[in-house]
Amino acid sequence: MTWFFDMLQAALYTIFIQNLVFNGGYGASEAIRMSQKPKRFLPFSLMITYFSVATAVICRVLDERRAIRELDDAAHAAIFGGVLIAVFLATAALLKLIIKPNKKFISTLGISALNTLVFAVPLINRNAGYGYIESVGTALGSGVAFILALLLISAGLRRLEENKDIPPLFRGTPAMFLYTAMLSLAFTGFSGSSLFS
Amino acid sequence: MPEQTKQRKELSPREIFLNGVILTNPLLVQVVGLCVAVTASSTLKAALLLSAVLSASLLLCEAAASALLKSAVQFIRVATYMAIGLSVACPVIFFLSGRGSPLLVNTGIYLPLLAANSLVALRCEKFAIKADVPRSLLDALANALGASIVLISSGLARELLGAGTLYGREIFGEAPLPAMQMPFGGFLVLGFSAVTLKLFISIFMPDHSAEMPFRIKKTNRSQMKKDKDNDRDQELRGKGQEADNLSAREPAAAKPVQERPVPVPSTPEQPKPALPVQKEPVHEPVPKKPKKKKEISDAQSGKNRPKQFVSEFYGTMSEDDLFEMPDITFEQKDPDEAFAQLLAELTEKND
Repeated sequence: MTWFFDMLQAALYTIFIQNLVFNGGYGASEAIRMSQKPKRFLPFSLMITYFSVATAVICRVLDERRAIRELDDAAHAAIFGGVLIAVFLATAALLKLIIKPNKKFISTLGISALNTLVFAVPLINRNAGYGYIESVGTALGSGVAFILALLLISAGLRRLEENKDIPPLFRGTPAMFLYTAMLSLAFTGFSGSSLFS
Repeated sequence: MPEQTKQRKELSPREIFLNGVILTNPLLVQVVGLCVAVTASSTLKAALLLSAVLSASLLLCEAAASALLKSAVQFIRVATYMAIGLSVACPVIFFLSGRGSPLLVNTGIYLPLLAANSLVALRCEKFAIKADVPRSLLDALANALGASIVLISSGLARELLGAGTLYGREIFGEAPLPAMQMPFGGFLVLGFSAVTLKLFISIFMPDHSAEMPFRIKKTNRSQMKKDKDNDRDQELRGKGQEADNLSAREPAAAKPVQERPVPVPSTPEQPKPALPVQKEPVHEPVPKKPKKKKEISDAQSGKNRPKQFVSEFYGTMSEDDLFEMPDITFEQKDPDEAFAQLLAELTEKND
């Protein structure tokens, strides 16, 4: 059971302490834009989780090889990026063969696969020196962190929409940014960072 | 979306430029590519580096999309944008790491992440694949400039307030607001930048809308149900109107319908024996299968027989209504007796 708790620990760390969306800014634009479409929360988050886990595991397997492990940052970025592209292309081609999805689905698949959140996971895993279990935990945590971000932003968006006291200049995107800043501040509190020193 | 409607009627170069830089600024209005703006551009140096790489990546991708990728499948196109982004970012990382530049430490993993920036994919898919190369390049330039202005001003403000320095040189002895170096500061600066942009548009470009709609799509269950009900009402109203129109145009054809009002069925129709009490043979209500099944089982068990018995005669009326009627006397009799009596009557009539 140790492996399960290691994975859970890595996932919880990614969700709350190192919240990738609010504390890292990864996938922030996708989270803000997607928060307007509650119907697509779950499928989009599941796609992100799938791509994160698949990319993280493949990149970890590749990183086990000495020849790759000893390469510099630029080569690692290129290899991990290539893996992400390959995973996306394979998934898209497979889905196209099996379920023949429409254009909108493929477009959503592209946004969910090729974004900063998914690409950041293998790079974070490498920088932190995580093993297989922690890598999977981080990847799963990134998906959950994204759902959490979507729910929080969406709830705030609904309140902001109802609030008629917001000055006209602050309505819309500015209010959304300021609200997201408050959420980011809240998650910074979980990480124990100090604001004034 | 002002841009979408305008794009259909061929934007002039001036409009493309103004849209990219001000009216539909990628970071402040389109809300794309926030990752680098929020976290990595915490200093002026980092912001300049990120702006340069982002601009190069955007220019190359839009040119490639416009010149080569118009006939490619969408998922191949999207993957190609990322590959082009990597081919721009990786040499920069290689060069900086070779020189041991501290800038690489500041930008961290955000430099390779520029390859997966949503701004690049969005502009290529929204504009470049539908336009010619010069216009795509102009759009890329305008959007790169728009994003760079925000990144650089954000980097400047955050470095000054968060670290008390400007381009690495000390300005304030002590950092006034260290929190500005955090992602929280990035979102805050973006928020106030968006307000400034709105103010600028409302003062200097009053013809253009300074409103930046950010609305949640009503897709919750209650709304969906409401929409469904509205649709159904409209459909019914439309049908009613059609019928009215028909009767107005062809009174002779519509007359029989008016003469024979059909009661609305509330119970499933049962197999009807030819009895004098059956008054409405014209109407054919849609049978509900599950209920029918239940009635069969009830009939088999003998339970609720009077109810079912009555419903066989008054198939188009509800059972409850029937039992409220004063002239119905089945309930007072023994159900089995009543059933037997009716069967006898039926056989007699059939003979």
